[in-house]
Amino acid sequence: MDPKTLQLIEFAEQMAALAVKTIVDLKGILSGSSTKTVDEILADADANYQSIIDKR
Amino acid sequence: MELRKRNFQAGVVLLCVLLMAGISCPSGTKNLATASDAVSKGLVNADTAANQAMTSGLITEAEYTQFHALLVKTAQAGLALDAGIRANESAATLSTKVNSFLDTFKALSQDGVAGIKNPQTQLAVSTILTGAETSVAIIAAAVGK
Repeated sequence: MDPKTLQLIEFAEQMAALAVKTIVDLKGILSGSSTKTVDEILADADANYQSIIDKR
Repeated sequence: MELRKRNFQAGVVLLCVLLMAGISCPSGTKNLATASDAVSKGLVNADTAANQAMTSGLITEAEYTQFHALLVKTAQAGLALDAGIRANESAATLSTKVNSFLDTFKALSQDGVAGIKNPQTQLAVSTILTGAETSVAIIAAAVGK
C-alpha cells in the first residue's frame, strides 16, 4: 500500500474515533446536565472555549 | 378543585413560556447553558480534527491557522455569551451576545470549512460542526431566530 493511501486510512480512522467521541461527549453533556447547576455547566463550557483560545 | 389545579398548572406553563421568551426562566437558562456547553465541546473536537489533519500533512499550517483563528473568535463569543447567561442578563443584552455568537459560528462553518482544501478533512470538520448546529439552533431559538 502506498504511503499516501495509508496516511488517508489512518486519518479516516482518527476521524471516525473523533466522531464517536463527539457523540459520547454530547450524550454525556445532555444526560449530565440534569444533575448539574447552570454555573457548573457554564464552567465546563468556559473551560472548553478557553482551551481553544489558549491553544497555539 | 381539579379544575383549579389544572388552571394553576396551565398558568405555570404559560408563565414559563413567557419567561423563556425573555430568557429568564430557569429551565430556559439551563437549556442555553447546556447548548453552549455542547457547542463548546463540538468546537474542541473540530479543532482536534483540523490539528490532526495538519499533523498528518493533509492540510497546511496556514489552512489550520485560518480555521483556528475563526474558532478562537467563536470561542470568545461563546465566553461572552456564557457570561451573559451567568449574569442573567436581560433579553435585549443577551440577544446581542447570541447574535454575535451566531455570526462567528456561521463564519466558522462557512469560511472556515471552505478554507480547508483537503476533502477528507473538510468532511470531518463539517460533520462535527453540523452536529454542533443542533445546539446552535437552541441558542438561536432563545432570541427568536
